[in-house]
Amino acid sequence: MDRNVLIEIGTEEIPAGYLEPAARSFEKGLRDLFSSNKIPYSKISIFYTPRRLAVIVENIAEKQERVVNKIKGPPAALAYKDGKPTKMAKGFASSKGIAIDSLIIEKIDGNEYVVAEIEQEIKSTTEIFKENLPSIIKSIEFPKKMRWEKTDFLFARPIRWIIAMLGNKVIPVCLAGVESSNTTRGNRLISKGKIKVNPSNYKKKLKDSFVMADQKERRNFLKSLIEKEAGKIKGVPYFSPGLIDEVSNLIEYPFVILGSFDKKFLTLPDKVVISAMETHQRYFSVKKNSKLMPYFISGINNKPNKEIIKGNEKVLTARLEDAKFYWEVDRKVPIKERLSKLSGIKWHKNLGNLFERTQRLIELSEWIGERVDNINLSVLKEGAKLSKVDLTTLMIRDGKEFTSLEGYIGSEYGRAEGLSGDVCKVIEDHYKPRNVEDELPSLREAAVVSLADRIDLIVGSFLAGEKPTGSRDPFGLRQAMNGFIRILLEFNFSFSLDELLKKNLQLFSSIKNTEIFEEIKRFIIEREEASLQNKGVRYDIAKAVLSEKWNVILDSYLVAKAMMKIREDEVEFEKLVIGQKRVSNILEGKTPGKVNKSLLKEKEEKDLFNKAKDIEPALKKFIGKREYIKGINQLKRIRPYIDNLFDNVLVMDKDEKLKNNRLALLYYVRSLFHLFCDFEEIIID
Amino acid sequence: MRKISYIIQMKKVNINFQTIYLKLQEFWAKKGCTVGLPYTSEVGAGTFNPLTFFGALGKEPLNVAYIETSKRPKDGRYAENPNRMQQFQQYQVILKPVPYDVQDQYLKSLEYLSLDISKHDIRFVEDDWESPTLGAWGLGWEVWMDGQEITQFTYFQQVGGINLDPISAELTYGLERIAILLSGVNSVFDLPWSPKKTWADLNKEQEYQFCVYNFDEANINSLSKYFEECKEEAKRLININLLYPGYDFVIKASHTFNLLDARGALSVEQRNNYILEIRKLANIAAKKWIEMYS
Repeated sequence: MDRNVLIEIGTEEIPAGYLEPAARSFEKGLRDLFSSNKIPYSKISIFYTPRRLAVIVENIAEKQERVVNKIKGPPAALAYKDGKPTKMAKGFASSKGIAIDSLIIEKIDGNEYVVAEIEQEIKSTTEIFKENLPSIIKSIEFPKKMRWEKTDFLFARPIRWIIAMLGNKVIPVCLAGVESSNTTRGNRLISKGKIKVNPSNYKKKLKDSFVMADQKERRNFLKSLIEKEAGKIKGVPYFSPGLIDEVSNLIEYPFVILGSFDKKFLTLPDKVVISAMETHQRYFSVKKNSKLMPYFISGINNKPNKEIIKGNEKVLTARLEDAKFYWEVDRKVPIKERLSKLSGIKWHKNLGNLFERTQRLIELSEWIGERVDNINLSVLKEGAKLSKVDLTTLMIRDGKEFTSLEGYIGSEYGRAEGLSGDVCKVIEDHYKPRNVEDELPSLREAAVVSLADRIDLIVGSFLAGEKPTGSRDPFGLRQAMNGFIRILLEFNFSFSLDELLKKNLQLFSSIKNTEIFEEIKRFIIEREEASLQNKGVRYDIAKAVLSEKWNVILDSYLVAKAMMKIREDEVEFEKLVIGQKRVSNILEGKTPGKVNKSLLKEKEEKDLFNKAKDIEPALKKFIGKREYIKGINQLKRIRPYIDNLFDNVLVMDKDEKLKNNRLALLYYVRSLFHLFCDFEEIIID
Repeated sequence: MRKISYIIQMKKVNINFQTIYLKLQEFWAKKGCTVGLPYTSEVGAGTFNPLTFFGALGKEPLNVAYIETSKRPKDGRYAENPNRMQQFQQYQVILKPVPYDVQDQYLKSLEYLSLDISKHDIRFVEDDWESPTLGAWGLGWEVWMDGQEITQFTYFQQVGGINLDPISAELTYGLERIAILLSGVNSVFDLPWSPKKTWADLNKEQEYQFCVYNFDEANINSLSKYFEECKEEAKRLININLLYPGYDFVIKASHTFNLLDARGALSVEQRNNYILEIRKLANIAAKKWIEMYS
C-alpha cells in the first residue's frame, strides 16, 4: 500500500472567490507542518470545489526523521579537570538526563564547551496529524469567517465532514463537532449517500459521483463545453475576465446549457444585455462576427434538461424585460432635458445637488481646458454638462445590475438621440480610470472632465468632513486622486494645482477656508508621493521634489526622474547635495533680503555671485523646456565656488552689514537649487 | 401535441400558491417547528417579526416557522411587471441551534413540494445578507433553482447589533417565485392561488393602488413627521420597559422610511441618516430584550 495521505474538509458551499486562496493557505499550513516536524514526502496536490477543500500528500514518511538537539553546557575548561569530569559536568549531564560519557566537546564562537546531544522523541506521522490538523484547518485564511456550532469554530461556511486518512487507515481527529472518517459526499443533486474513499481512488470515486475535484481540469472542461455549445450556433462565447474561473468554482462538475432569448432585446445597448447575463446570472454571452447573438450559455451543476433551460430563460427574460422597460421609459425624456432633473438629486450633505455639481464641473473643465493644448472647447463643455445626466435615469437609479454602467448609459442614450460621437465619448469616459487596472479616457476632452470630476469630489468631500483616514476611504478619494495623477502624466497636462484648488473652493464659496485648502494640499502631496514611490523614486527624493513642485504634477514627476538619474553617479550627486546643504545649514531657515553688490568685498563672494548670476538664465531656460537633467547639471557648476567661499571667508562676520549681505548671497544661491527641489530633504547614505 | 401540453397543464393545476404554503407549514411543523403567525404592522421582511428579531437573541433553542407578508414599497411596478411587486409573501423558518443537516432539511422541504431536485440545477450561491436597518447580518447564500433565486439562507451572526450565541439559521422562501416555478406559469398574475382564484384575482388591484400611493400619493410631510413621532415613541416606550409596543414603533418607523424612500423624498445622505436612526432604535430594542429576558 502506498503511503499517501488524504485530507478532505467537507463543507456547505464556500463562496467561489474564497476557494483558491483558501486551498493555497491550507497547502502552506501542511508544508510548514511537514518541514518543521521533519516529515519527508514527495508531492502535495490540492483539490477544491464549492463543497470541499482537499489535499493528497504522496509518499509521506511513516514517522519523523531523527532529530538531535544540541544543548550547550559549561565551558570545557571548567567541565573537565585532568581529563576527568568535574562536578559541573556531572550536574549538567544529569540535568539533561544523559550519561556522563556521552557528553561531547564542541567549539562555539571560538571557545570550547561541553555539549549534550539529545535525541528528540520521534513521533509517527499519524500522531503529528492528530495533534496538528485541527489547528491547521482553523488557520486556513478566508476573507470572512462565521460561527455555526457550539465550539465556536470559525470557518468560511460550516464543516460537515472530515476525511483524514493515511493509506487505508483513518487518522482520528475531531473539530467543530465533526469526527474524521473515510467517507465523502458526491454531487448533491445527482449522487446520493456517503461514498467510501481512500487516497488512491479519491479522484476517481468523486468523478463517478459527478464531482470533478481538480479545479484546473474542471475549468478547462467547462470552457471546452461552452465553446462546443457556442459552436452549435456558429457563435463564439465571450469570456469576461474572471467569469470562467468563477463559474467553475460555483459547480462541482461542469454541465452546460444553451438558452435563447427574444431577438427584440438586441436593440438594447450591448453592455446592458451582457450585464443582464453576467452580473447576477453569470451566463456567458455569445457573439458572431463580434455582434451579440440572442443566446446565452450557463455552466450548471446538474445534467441538462429542458426544464432547467426553460427556467433559466425565464429568469434572463425577466431581467431583460426590466432593462427594456428602463430603456423605453428613460428615452421618453431627452437627455438634455434631464439636466434640470439633476437638481432633485442631493449629492452630499450641505453640498447641494447634482445640478450644482454639474455647473462646477463645467466651469472646472473649461478652466483646465483653457490651460492645455488641443481641446475642442464646445465638445468639452457639452460633455461636462451632460456627464451626470444618466444618474436621473431609471436604468441607473433603479437597475441594480446596470448601475455600474453609469457613463456608458448616458452615452448610449445620447447616441440614440443623435448626439455628437465625441460628446458621447466624454460622457462615457469621464469616469475612467475607475481603478488601477482600468484604461484611461480615450479623448482629451474626456480626460479633462475626468480631472474636474475628481478634484470636485475631493474638494467637496473634504468640505463635508469626509476625509480618508487610515483604511477608511468611503468616497474613494485616494483612488480618485491616483487616477487624477495618472491622467495628468499620460496626457502631459500641466497647470497649477494650487490655482485649480482655489478655483474649486471658490465655486463652493469656501475660498477663505485656508485650513481646508491646506488639508487638501497635504492629501494631494501624500498621493503624489505614493505615486512617485510606485514609480521607483526614492522617498527622500520624492519628498524633496514635492516640497517645491507639488503644484505641477508633470514637473514633479520629471524632476524626480532627473534626480534619480543624477543620483546614479553617487560621487557627483553627493557633491551637489552637500554644497547646498552647507548653504542651508548656515541660513538656519533665515530669509534675508536682497544681495547688495557693493557690499561684496572678498573675491570668493564676488565669484560665487557672478557665477550664480551667470548660470541663472541657462537654469531658467532648461526649466522652461522641462530639461531638468541639464538644469540640475548647471547647479554643479557653482559648487566649487560655494566651497571656496566657505573655506576662505567668514560668513558670520562681526560687521553686521557684511554678515547679512553674505547670508543674502547664500539665500540667493539656495533659491536657485530650490527651483528644482528641496535638497535639505535628501539623505546621503 | 396540443393534447400533451393540456395534460401537463392539468397535472400542474394541482400545484398552486396555497398548496405550497400549506405544505411548507406541514413540513416544518412535522420537523418540530412551532408554526407562528405573521406580524401585524407592515414589515419589509420576515426578520422584523419579533419571533425572529427577539427569538434569535438569547440562549434558548427556537424552532419556528411562519408566513410573512412583506412590503417593500420601492419594488412595486404598478402591477405591470410580472416579477416585481411592492408586496409579496415570504415563508420564514428559524432554527436555533442549527441542525447538522440543515441544508438537507431544506432540500427535503423542496421535495415535499413535489419538486424533483435531481432534475433541477439547485445551487447555494454566496450572498451575505444584511439588514442595515435592523443591525442584523449573517453569512449564507441565495438558493438558486435553474437560475432563479428562490430562498435566502442565512446563518445569523448579529441581530440588533448584538452577537448571537447560539447561531440561528434563517430560511426565507420567496413563495411567489417558488409557486411560479412549480406551477409552470410565466407570470405572477397568472399564478393560481387556489384552484379557483389566481394571484391577480386577489392582489392585482391592490398592488396597483398601493403603487400609486407609494410612488405618487404618499404625503411626504406627514410621513416625515410621523417618522419622528415613531422614533420618539419607540424610545420612550422601550425606556419604560414596554418593549413590544416600543419595538412596534421601530417597525413603523422603518416602514415609514421605506415609503419616503419610494416616494423619492430622500437624498442619498438623508437616506443613510434614516437607516442609521432606525438601526440605533433596533439596537436599543435588542439590548432591552436582553436586559429584561435573558
